[in-house]
Amino acid sequence: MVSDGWRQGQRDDFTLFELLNALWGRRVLVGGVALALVLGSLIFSLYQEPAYVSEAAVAVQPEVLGVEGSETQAQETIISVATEGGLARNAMRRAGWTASPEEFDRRVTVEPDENSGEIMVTFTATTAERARLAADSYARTFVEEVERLGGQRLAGGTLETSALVTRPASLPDGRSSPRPVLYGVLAGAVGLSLGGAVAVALESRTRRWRGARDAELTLRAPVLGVIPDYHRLEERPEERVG
Amino acid sequence: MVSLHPAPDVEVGRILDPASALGGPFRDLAENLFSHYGTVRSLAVTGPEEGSGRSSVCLGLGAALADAGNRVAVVDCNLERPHLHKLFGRSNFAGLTNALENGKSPELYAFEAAPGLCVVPTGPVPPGSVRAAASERLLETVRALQESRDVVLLDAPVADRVLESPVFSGGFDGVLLVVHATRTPKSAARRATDDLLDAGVNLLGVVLNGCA
Repeated sequence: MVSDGWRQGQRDDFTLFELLNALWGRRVLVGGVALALVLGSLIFSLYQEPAYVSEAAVAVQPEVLGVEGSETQAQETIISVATEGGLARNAMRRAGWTASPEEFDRRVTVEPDENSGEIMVTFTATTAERARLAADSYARTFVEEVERLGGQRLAGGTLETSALVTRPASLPDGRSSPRPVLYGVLAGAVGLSLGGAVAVALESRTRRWRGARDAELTLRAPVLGVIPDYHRLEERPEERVG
Repeated sequence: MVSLHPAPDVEVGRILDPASALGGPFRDLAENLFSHYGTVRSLAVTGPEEGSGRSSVCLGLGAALADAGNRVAVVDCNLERPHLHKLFGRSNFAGLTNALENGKSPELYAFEAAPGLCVVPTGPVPPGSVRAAASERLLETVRALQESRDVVLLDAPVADRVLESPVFSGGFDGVLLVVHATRTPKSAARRATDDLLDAGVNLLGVVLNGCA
């Protein structure tokens, strides 16, 4: 006797077996989508120029004369005033930068770090050495500029400053982008998810049954018989018996 | 019996021939059915949609059971789309509807398709007969047929119609669902299976027809 257990199971949910059955049935599609995305990510990585990021830290000690609790504002003022004018050009010359000033500006960022209270100078370049040299040059030029401006009393004469490179830029351990392996793994995971979703959607609409096991997993009912297609049997008379 | 000399087409001839390549799969189906569920004397064969091959499965299963020594009747209960008589190239002048109307045994309107296997076509389908074919009278008619036949296979309408009729869904020993391997959408088959089970129908199992 067939156990009646198959009648009593919860039939509304989508089981892991059904999911695996759907994925296995459309494995070429799922694999193809994942492979296409992996290849796409690898090609994207190949055409991306490598990016190395180096960072230097500058400590600035602003003293706002007559005003309390506005150190962050003062730092922002310093960054704003110091990065105007010829700072970038001087840093470019010091770093031996030969490309355009706009390119140099695009690759450098100067931001205060709220946690450490330092100003972080970050430079992105196509080689590790160039990134280190540019970040370091910019930080040192920045310090010189702040000290020069400090003597002039910034912000209408209410701000005195002194600056110091607390952490010179070092050679980055590795490139920050592109990372072909990471991109490939992510693309593969996205591809499997996307291909799997498409496979499940197609599988529910298909009229193609792969056999008794497929029918049992799809219908969650026992398959008592599998009857071959008469027309195919006609085409293959050697399969006849008797 | 109306005639002892039916002239089935080539396809039906192969379905009915126990020595053909189709004989084995139908024998397996009969063996599975009886070994899993014991004696089944009346069985409604339905499908999620038209075209799944219910009539072919009824005939093949009937032929396999008849070849095993059973006396079998296949009754075309699909009054909306009578089909069995067409497979044999016969007219549909007499059949189940006559038996329902006059209370006589449907065997009187049957023809012998193979040794031990008789086929009852729908007969003419006047207005109102569709309802009659899904009523208690059908149950009585099948019981009358069971007096002379070991197994009665009902070529039933599609699953939605079976669910609408308490006679089809609960009046016989069980229901067999036929899905076609290249024509039946999986979603429709799943829905039909769920609906049959939700309605408490004694679904015995599934037949996958037309496999490559």
